[in-house]
Amino acid sequence: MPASPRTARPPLQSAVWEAVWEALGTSVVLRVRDPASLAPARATVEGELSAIDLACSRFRADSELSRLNARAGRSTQVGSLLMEALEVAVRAAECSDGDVDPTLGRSLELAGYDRDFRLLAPATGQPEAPAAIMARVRAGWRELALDRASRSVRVPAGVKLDLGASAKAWAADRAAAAAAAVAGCGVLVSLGGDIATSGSAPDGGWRIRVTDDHRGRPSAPGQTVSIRSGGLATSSTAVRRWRHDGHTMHHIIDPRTGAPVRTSWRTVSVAATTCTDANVAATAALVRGLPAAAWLAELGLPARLLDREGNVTAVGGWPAEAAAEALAA
Amino acid sequence: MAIHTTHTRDAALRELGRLNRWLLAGSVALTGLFAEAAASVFPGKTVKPATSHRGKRTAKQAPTATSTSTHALQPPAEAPRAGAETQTSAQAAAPAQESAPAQESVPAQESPPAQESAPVQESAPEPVVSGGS
Repeated sequence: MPASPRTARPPLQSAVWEAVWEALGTSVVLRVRDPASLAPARATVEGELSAIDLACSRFRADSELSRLNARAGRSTQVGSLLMEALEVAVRAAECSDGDVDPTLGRSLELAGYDRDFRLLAPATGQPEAPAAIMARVRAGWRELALDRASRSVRVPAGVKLDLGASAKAWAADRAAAAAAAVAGCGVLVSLGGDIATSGSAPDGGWRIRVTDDHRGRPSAPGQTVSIRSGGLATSSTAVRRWRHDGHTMHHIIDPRTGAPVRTSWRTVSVAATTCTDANVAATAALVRGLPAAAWLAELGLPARLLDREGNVTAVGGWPAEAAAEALAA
Repeated sequence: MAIHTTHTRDAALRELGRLNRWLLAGSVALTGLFAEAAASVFPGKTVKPATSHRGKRTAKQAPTATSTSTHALQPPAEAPRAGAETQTSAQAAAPAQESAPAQESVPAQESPPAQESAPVQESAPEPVVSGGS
């Protein structure tokens, strides 16, 4: 029996299998290339995220990070997972010249982000946050002392760490790598839109829709791209907004003012060798404002920057948008 | 008497000046010696960029991530590609995928308890959404 033309043709887009659930206060999307590996891959991702939540959550009283923050001013021993998260956070600060700073926990609290985001009052059109939050208490990431040999950390007195700017993307990287090792196939992990891949990609690559809100539909205004490896992350001031003291706040804090950043960009998407690097670059770009486009280009990071008027700037080899997508952006 | 007193005072001041200079020179020399001794006894305290992880350091001096050890954000091996072509390809290939034997096992994957809250989807041609969170 002659092979049908349909099956004889090599598939242009490999099949992938998917699981979706909630963790770390956001949505998790797991995609694998082998159906038999979905269950073990999911179990692996769940284990990774659970461990990271216990180590790094600012909102859990029983987390290691909460204990570390409570002992600010004193040297404290931490577990290897939190130590690695802190090292990643410090590297993020270094690579971004301090635009992504793990010592902004107090600033976030003063901006009203002092509990799980789902418990905050939603923003309903209040004026923007004040230009600076004067009562901020911040020592800066350079004052954070890490001793890897003894796994001890000293947080400056009066400072609270928040790893939200780096830990989620780092968790996606770890989870994807661990899941791929268990599954033995290509894996994609998305944590609230921070996307990490590991192993071989499907034919045509992993398809990703970049848009303002990770909860959006795949048809939401934005652009669809595909990646074959590494990570892709998007940061936006259009989401995670809440009401506090008569103002609309959001979670991207400018370390120089201690207040939610007032930026020329609304949403920035970046591709990098890891999801962590992509996320650091995207968040730093929001803080940096207009000069961010040149900074990303200089680093060779493919990025898509959407300004507040909806205009797109693409740098570093980011693909041009189709005409219809450009109009929808 | 007055001259004697003046001479005595000037001599004492000169002596005091000499003493101060010796004390200054001595303290500089001792500081150097102590610094050298401390540097050799506690190499982790030196400011030189060391590759080892010994000793306490501030974040400024020695951040070394285990998973990402370089100090610059790393671009991907390959830039993203426009997704429109991929979408067309996926749509074209979809019928072929429906007959692929590997996908016949998908229903079996729905049975493990871990997946009860997240139904497995067959061949997800829709892109994953990346947005602010």
